[in-house]
Amino acid sequence: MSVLTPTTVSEACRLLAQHPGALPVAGGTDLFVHWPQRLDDHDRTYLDLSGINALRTLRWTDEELILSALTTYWDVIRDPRAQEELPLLVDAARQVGAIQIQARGTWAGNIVNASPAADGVLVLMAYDASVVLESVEGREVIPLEDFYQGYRMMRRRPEQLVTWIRVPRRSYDFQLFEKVGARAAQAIAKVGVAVTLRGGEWRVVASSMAPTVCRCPAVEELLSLGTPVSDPADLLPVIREDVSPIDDIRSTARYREEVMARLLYFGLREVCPTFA
Amino acid sequence: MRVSFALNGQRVSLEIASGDRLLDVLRCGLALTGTKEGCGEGECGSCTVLLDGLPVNSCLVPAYQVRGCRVETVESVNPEELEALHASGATQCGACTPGVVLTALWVRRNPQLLHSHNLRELMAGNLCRCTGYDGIIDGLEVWLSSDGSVDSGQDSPKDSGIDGGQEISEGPETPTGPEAAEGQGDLGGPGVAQGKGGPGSQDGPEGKGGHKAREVSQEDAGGVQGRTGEATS
Repeated sequence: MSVLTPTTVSEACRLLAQHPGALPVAGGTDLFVHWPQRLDDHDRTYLDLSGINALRTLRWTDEELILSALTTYWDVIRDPRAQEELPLLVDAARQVGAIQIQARGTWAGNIVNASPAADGVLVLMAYDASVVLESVEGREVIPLEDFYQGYRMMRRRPEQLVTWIRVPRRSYDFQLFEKVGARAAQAIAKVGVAVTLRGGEWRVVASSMAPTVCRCPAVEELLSLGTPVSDPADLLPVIREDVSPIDDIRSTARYREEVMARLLYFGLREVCPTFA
Repeated sequence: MRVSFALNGQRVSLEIASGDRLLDVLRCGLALTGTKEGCGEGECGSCTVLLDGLPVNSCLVPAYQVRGCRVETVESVNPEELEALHASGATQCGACTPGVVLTALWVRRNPQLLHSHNLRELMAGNLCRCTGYDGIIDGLEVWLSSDGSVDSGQDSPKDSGIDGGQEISEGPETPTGPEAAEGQGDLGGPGVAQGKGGPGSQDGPEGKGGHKAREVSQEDAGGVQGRTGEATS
């Protein structure tokens, strides 16, 4: 295993261009799982980001919250403004794992790990976050909802580094994050939903329901149109237009659909007059 | 490669392999076997150590990343400190105990965490397979409230171990280098939480809207799990 240790973003980009297969490492909470047994991965080249102090900040501008590649869940949990303005980030961070993971796991790592169950991606997408990628060729900004192309496939090219995540600062009329796992702590989502409402505009995002975390435009349209819903089951046909859950080690497709319908129905009933 | 860091208040410097985990370096390189390996995947918390004051799973920390950092292991804790855990029956096989103690030490140094979190949530990353959690939580509650939870240490010389640790953690907050923070403040030492005010608005993990939905879905989860016999995690 060889490790490259840049101290600036431009040096990191240069190294990635020279070693296109190098894998960036932030907190290691995904990359080092069962490490001693993963002998093949020991031969890879890693790009350690921990020495790049410019990537350590959490910054508020007038328009955005800017998370850096090394910003951890804990950094957000303990930021009072995050709790006030973007509470779904804090909710998700508190459920992604316990403090040991919160202290090391990063939002950027959650994005590039590209799990369909990613709690961080779920709430970032509900807030219309975008991903900033840097390379020797320059900067590219991609809306998170366009970032994934299929199961664990994303629009990051090997020579690009996710450096920042930009989250717009807006005031919301309603926000919801729900995660259902096998237990309350230390569980990966069987189903996750994040919903925001702002000036009549809905965002509904689902995790563990499709090959990637994804927006649910059919559900969003139903909410915008004010279509009457008198039972969670009424939502099922619409949900099925948006997502395609599977049976796997964590749950079943049927369970996931039904739970998503219930999470939305009971979670939105108080703000949707058309939900009986 | 060579790595230097502060271990339990003392500077250490040693040769490591680039693929070593912090856990391997502690146990094999430094013969500090108090830190246990459980699951090796960051779930069970038995390998918990404090890194720059925050609990981390040392099985997931690449050892080269701790250069310049502060690492604290269970060896830094005076066992007499932990009488309350014995008294409450908090340990049986003992595999989880070092990790439990380190996470609790973090809480003890940052009592303001208990304004925004309950103790069970803070301890959720330390799994126990023997005693169940009530004894652990009971013992920790006694420990956390002893001596005033701010580590005043006026009580007895026993406290010196922990106070020593706190001294270190109150030093300049330098995650990996002097200018690391860039105005971001500490990365986990004392004063971690927004203390007064801020998170008081959050009464628990589910402060907001979807409370009802959660209850419904969890009931539901129980039913379906029972039916399919699905494995956890």
